[in-house]
Amino acid sequence: MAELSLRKLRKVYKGSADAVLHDIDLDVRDGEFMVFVGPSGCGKSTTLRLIAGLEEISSGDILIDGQSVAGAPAAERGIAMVFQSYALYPHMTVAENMAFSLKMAGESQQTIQSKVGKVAETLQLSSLLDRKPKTLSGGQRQRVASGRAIVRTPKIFLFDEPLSNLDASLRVQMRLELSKLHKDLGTTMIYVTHDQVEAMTLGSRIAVFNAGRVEQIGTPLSLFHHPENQFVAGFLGSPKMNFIDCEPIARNAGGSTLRCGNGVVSVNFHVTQKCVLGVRPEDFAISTESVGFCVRIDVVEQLGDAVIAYATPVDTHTTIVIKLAPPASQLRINAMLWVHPRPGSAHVFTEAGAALTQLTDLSTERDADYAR
Amino acid sequence: MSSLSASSPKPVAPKRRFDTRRLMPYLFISPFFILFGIFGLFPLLFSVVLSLHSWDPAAGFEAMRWVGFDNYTFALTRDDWLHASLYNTLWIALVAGLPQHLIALPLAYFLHTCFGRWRNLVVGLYFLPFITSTVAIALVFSALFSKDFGVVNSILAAFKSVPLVGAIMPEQSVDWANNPQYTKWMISFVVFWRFVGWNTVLYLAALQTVPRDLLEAAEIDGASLWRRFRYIVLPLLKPMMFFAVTLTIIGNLQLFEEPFILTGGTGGTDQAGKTAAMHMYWVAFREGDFGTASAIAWLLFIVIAAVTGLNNRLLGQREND
Ligand SMILES: Nc1ncnc2c1ncn2[C@@H]1O[C@H](COP(=O)(O)OP(=O)(O)O)[C@@H](O)[C@H]1O
Ligand SMILES: [Mg+2]
Repeated sequence: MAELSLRKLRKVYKGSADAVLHDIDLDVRDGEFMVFVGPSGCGKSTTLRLIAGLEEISSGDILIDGQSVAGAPAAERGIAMVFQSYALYPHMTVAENMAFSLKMAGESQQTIQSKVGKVAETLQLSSLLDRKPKTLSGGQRQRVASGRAIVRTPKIFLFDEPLSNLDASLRVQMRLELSKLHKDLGTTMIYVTHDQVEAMTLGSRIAVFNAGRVEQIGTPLSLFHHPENQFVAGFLGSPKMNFIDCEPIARNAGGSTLRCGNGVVSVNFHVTQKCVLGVRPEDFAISTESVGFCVRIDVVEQLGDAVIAYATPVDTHTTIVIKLAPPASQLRINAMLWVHPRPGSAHVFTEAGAALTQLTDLSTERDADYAR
Repeated sequence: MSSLSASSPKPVAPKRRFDTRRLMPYLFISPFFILFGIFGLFPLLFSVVLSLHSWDPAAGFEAMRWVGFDNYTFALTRDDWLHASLYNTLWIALVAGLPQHLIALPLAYFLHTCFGRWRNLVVGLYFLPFITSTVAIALVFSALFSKDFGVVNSILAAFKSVPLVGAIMPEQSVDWANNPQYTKWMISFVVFWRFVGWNTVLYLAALQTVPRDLLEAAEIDGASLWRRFRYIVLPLLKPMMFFAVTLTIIGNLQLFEEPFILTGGTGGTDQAGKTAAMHMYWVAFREGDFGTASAIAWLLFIVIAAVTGLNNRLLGQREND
């Protein structure tokens, strides 16, 4: 049970001029499943390693339950970490791997055995206790790594892309197991991933990282529906949100009318400058009359539960992605048709990337009921 | 006509006379086999033959006389110098060899974990003795260990005035090279000093293969620097330890140059620093008894094989590991 706060956390690696992390401010609440998500190289692992104490901070502070741990050795911070590689000790059996931290802490043989036995049981590892890591499957190794973290009963769990070495179906299964684990233990967890699906499904809250900064923190749905900037909007959701440059051409009582390339779109708020329209693929609808964008369909992908079309608005060289529920029989290769964003679904960003849509009450609502 | 000739071409007898293309590869790899045959395989086999003969090389091949295992029985039962030199060899191998690894292992770990930019320089310094000529090293150490003007004795003398430690310091200058009590210590020290760097480099290389994650996981698990070494690094270095110790065993049991030069080729007073290889050299080139020398060589080989086998039992990888 613990809260974690990062205060103006900054990291400059020795020998490099640029900071990898720029003044990160972030609070993880007690019992929360916090996910750090972002593209590769944005500093997620670095943040985690700073929290773990494997790397020294350049400036700022790290607080666990209000106490600064910035100078404390890794072992004394009360954290446990699961590595992407699992980092299982190859010369030790599963039981020895799980017992190692207890042994280092000088626990009695009896305590060690009962603790390891109990954790092994909950993770279904009891039959594997005498095996060496190299004889285990990927999923089993992942579980041993989690088990090794659990036996320490840490205040905070840190996971660094723990599922990225698994194949897709196993990943889904282990994702569920981790979710369940969090529910059972109720311990604060911080989970790093570059996979937005993992982030959306696991996180109580998500912190979206980009180039050493936190772009936005919030519940999965608030981030999805109310991204504060173009980066977050583009990062979450699959396929990616479409971005189309546009400018206001008319203004009326209910909002503005925007010219976007060859199309015209109305939004229900006022826009006064050049901007970027963001529409999620699933937020497009096929128009019955000539409104929105006139597009030519280039490629159609049938996913069974959805149809994805890649289309080119006429007279442009851009591509927009449209995702509709099947059968969507109008989506045929080389078909010309009109599509428009569903009312109220369009996002508008300034040219610098900040969201122009006003945050509605929805986001604060979501933020409040984040946990459990 | 043309269609006929195309469908049934006249069978051509394969030219097998001198296909250079087939021969070329063998030609290219032949230098190794030729050199190995002349300088490796032939002497090896010839020494087996020699060890079963009595032979004065000055008298030509006709002088070779079959004696069966006489050379072996002589070496084993009556050659007291062989027994003494074998004892010396094992003594030096142990005293020079064991500390090499006991120091090189932690040293490599220390260099690996605590040195950043300076690591390669330090490694280079440690490695330097290994690539320096043995003769030069032996000469330098002869000077260092010299009775009246050597640095070692000066240092010992300086320590004499220090309380506590002073009591165990020798009263007079130690005659390292000529007092049989110290000869083996001196040789062992030089050999140790020379190969510590080599072993450190071996262990450093092996340390590169230990994933950093493992050490970090152990750090989080609460293992101190020393315990990370003891519980994680050491077990993972076992294959390299086996390799390095094997090299040490083979090298130390064949020790020749260092004792030869440090003792001026004599083996020192009472031959206290004479190794088996030196004895073998002596028997062959001073006494001209190539038969017995060959027998000694093969006996030494058996000893080395036995010790290496023992090492394999201790450090070698077992399948179920
Ligand atoms: N030990 C290091 N020394 C110097 N630069 C590093 C080091 N580790 C990571 N970096 C750099 O820091 C940035 C962030 O890395 P990281 O935190 O691993 O990103 P990710 O979000 O993919 O986990 C990257 O540009 C990486 O090159
Ligand atoms: Mg990473």
